[in-house]
Amino acid sequence: MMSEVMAKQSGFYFDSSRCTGCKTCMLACKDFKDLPAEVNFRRVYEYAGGAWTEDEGAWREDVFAYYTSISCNHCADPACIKVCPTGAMHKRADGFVVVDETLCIGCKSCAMACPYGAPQYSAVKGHMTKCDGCYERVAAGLKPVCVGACPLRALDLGPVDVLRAEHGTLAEVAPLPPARYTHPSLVIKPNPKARPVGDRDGFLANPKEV
Amino acid sequence: MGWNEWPLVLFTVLAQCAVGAYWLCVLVLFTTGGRSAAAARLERLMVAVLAVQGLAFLFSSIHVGSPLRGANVLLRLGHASLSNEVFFGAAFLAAGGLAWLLTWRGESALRLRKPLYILALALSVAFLWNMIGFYLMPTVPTWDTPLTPLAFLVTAVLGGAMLANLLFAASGLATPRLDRLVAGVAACGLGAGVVAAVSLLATLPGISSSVQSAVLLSPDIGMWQAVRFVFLFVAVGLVLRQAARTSRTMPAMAAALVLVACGEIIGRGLFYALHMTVGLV
Repeated sequence: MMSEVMAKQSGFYFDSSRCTGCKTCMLACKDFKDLPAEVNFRRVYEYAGGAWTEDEGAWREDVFAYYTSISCNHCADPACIKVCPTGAMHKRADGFVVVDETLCIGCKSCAMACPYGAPQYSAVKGHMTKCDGCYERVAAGLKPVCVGACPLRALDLGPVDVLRAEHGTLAEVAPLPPARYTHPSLVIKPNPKARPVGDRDGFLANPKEV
Repeated sequence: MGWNEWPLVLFTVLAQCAVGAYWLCVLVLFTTGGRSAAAARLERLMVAVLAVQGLAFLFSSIHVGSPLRGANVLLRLGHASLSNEVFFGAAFLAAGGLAWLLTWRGESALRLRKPLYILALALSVAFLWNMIGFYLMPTVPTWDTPLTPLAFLVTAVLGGAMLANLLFAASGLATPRLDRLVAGVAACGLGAGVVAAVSLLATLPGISSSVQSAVLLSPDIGMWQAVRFVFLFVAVGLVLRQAARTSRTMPAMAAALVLVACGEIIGRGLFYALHMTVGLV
């Protein structure tokens, strides 16, 4: 029974309509995983844009700004695993994509390939590191640290098919990549202001924070 | 400029020069009629090509975070391009090295060396093929284009011609016919390089994601390409002059090699600077 539950692919649920961009998820992860300054397993991307437009002599604004909190999406078709020359980057039986830190040589190929910026090089360790979905906590029936830390209850982790049945199958909004590239185990509830994937009207408003 | 990836810049440029030079040396060894002392000297001097390849591997080990575990890179042989690339590169070096060791057995071992040259040639093609394959990542729109194989091939042809040119002269094998071969190959490489660079500059404005535009990745790319092509045109001019006048001077040949190496290092620096993904990076 337990192994059946574990074998189900887990995915993150992210409610962009709730997220205020407070980055508690990012820092709770950083603290729990004891990450160096330049490594962030979870990152909060602020996508912003808009301008003033003239409407029959009246000027109105259509500005928008919203957040996407992204770690690793433990994709069904992970770009990182395809390029890894050692097999260190692997998909566990429970579906989590994890770096075997005893195998990895730190060639950074996975970081070049991943369109979410999930694999990150640790200069301290000399190899790649990445969100492991807190699989040990999940196996013990707990949620990942980022999920538990979110004060807005905008994050969750669960079997991805259950999440999709409950919240729909949306896995792409700007500025995320089109889902067809890696088939992320990610379910998004979009912000009311959310722009569709591929949008070019906005920009990344917090490049130094990610 | 992608100078943060300088070990990869040096690895790819030097390895491609070595591969191209090996192709030309083997071609000349197999097509020059009759055995001469000069051909034997060229076989000995081909160790320089292997040394350049060895130096390239040294630079690649600087790129990885844990080089002492480097052998793990072969664990996904047959599945990952990088595993295949390292395997074929090392096998090329081994086959070429064995052929070189057999030159010390003199002419009697020529029958052993010939199949080794063919094998090393095939392995070097597989090496370059997988090096190209590694960069054709569907999630990296600036690399996943036909311009990547073209750029790598241009480096192999131009750098290979300049390195082989030196070895032909140093071995005493050089003839007006070989000068024309080198100049022709180099001119073709330069022509392909111009096509590749113009196509690259023309396609960049069409590549963007929500957070990144390819044209903004290396704002000085036009200036750097201009500097690169000044180097390449002067270098090719030097070998054309050598072929036209049928006179060779070692300093001019060495300068041509250094100019091509510098030009291709600039080009490769731009290549790494153009890394972006279809998503957040």
